[in-house]
Amino acid sequence: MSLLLIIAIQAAFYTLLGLGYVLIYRATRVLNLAHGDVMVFGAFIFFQGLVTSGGSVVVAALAALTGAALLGGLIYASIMRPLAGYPVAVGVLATIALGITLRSATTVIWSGQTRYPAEHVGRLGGGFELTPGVSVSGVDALIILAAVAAILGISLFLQRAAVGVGMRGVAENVLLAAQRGINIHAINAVSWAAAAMMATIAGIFFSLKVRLGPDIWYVGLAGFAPALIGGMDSVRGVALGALIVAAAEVLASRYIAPQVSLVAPFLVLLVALWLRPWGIFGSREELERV
Amino acid sequence: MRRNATVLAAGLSLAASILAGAANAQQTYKIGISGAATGPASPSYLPHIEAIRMYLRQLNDKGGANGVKIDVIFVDDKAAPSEAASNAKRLMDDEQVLAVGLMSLSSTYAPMFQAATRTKTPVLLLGQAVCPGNAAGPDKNPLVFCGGSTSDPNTAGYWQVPLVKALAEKHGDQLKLALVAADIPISRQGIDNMEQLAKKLGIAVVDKQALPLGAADVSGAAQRIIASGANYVTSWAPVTTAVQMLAALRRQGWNGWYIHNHSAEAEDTLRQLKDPKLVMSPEYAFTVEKLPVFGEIESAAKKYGVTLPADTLSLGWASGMMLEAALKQCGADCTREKLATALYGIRVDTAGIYPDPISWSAQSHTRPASFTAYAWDTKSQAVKRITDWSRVHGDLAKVKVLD
Repeated sequence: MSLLLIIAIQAAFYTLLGLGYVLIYRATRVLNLAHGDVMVFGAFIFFQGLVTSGGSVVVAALAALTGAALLGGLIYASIMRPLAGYPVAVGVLATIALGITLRSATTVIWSGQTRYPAEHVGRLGGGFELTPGVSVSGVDALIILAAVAAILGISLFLQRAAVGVGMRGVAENVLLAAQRGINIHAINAVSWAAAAMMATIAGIFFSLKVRLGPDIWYVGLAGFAPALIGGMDSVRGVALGALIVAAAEVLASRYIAPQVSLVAPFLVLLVALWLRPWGIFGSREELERV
Repeated sequence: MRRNATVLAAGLSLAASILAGAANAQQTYKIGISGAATGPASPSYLPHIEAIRMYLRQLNDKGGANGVKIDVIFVDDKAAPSEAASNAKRLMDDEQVLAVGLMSLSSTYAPMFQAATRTKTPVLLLGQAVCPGNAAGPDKNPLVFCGGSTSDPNTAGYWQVPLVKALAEKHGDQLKLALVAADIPISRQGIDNMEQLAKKLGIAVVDKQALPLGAADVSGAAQRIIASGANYVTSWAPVTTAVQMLAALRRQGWNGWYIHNHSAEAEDTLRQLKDPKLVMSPEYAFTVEKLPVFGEIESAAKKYGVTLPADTLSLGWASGMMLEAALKQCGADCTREKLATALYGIRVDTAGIYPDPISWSAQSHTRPASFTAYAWDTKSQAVKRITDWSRVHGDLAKVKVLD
């Protein structure tokens, strides 16, 4: 597999993760540190769906996405909504507590045993040749397609759908949006639900590629740097941020040492923040408001 | 007068309750277990923690050791040195435990060992905790005893490198070896030693790398291995590292052999991945050996509601056997000093989980190490042992690959 393709796959995966951060930040200005745990919880629902349905990917994916949407909405209604009006830091701290709670719940429900959902969906694992000598696995191809679809889909949704327009309104000016009759709590709940779905999609892919266990929550944090680099309130910025982070990671790992791959994205992030603190496509006004 | 009598009675009853409390304290063995129950390394350690908890619960249900119940305090260190330091303080200073069972990454050892030396508390490395490289040498910590499944990083190489060579010879491959570690000191030490041994055996080591534990993806590192031309990869690391690297290699079309040391989930991993070229080389028996003890573990797991498979629980179970033997040897009036001495006198038969009985001497605090290897057999659709057992004494092992 060529390095470019590896970078593209990695960037697509980070895009899926980063979009979750952006969706929540745009709506509530909260940096969701439980994103990784939501990812794991959703992926476990997918695994459970696979086991229960005898390996039907469609059933399992639908179950996982529905479960994730409900979980996201529930998190907003039960935890984040009561904190509206408090400083943003309170909300961020609440997501830390939420993450620990979800992690424990996952371990209690599904135990700490490592699972390999790919075992149930072998046909996705088979690769196919793009050009002579360059092949891509089924899961990797799906990751790229999913990321492209997510960027286009979310952008269109924000432009065209009534709820999407409402989300933009809330992102730009909550007070004004409320005065115009937009149900900001419903919009925020939709944002949390959508972010949980994005996290779950990323979790499903990671579990199909590598493994699934309550301990993989840290993978979810990998979407944070791309979102910051691209701009915390920018959907298209995530894709560019993800590409930069993925390139830094893969190239450092390939040509310097794998240990450097963990540091490289954060070095890039430091430089990016120094040059443009609000992110490449982020809005300067938003940063000042934070 | 009546008031004085009431005060006296109250005072006496208070004194009696304090004395009763002290007597009760002597009627239990207080043991601490510190382990990586959560965090990135937890898949390799949590099953052992669950299993030793289960074993000691069963032991208490049967009346304890020497008729004394065991009061076990479990604390999570998340495989973080800072957490281990606070656990050591809590267990050794505040709770005054008789001994600490440590079931975590080697990065947590330093604070625990320092506290052990200061408080003269024996520390048993249990489950899959790796034995320090100096445990058989004169500079070993006299209070640290290796009871875990993973012998020191130097010993493991004496088995694993000849195993790689034997497999390559068996399959007629021209061996080009890549070495993979987790980015933690003892794992790196393991592959450094393997590199030296590989040179002795004339094996071409074409790549060597340490992977960070928290990496979301290792595709770049995998590409480096493929570019090096390696057809065999061997790792001495937590299973999470091995699985992540193997997955990245396979996704890129690599079809070579991957030989890993082992972990709590080694057998389960083989069973779930069904990759016929993934080899685990443990120092203990997998459940495919059908030993009666595995039936006991399964029964206990059912009884106590532990949902993990028996093969992931066997090492923690054997750790419980070691603790029980040590406490029995120490006697009903066990102290830290007596326990440290008692550990030299025990000989623990783990019913075949470890092929050799566990024993420690003043010279060596390691466990006798015998190795074998298992892989997924596509014909029988089951995990199968692929080599004979081999005892390793610091010489390169003679590996016999089975047909």
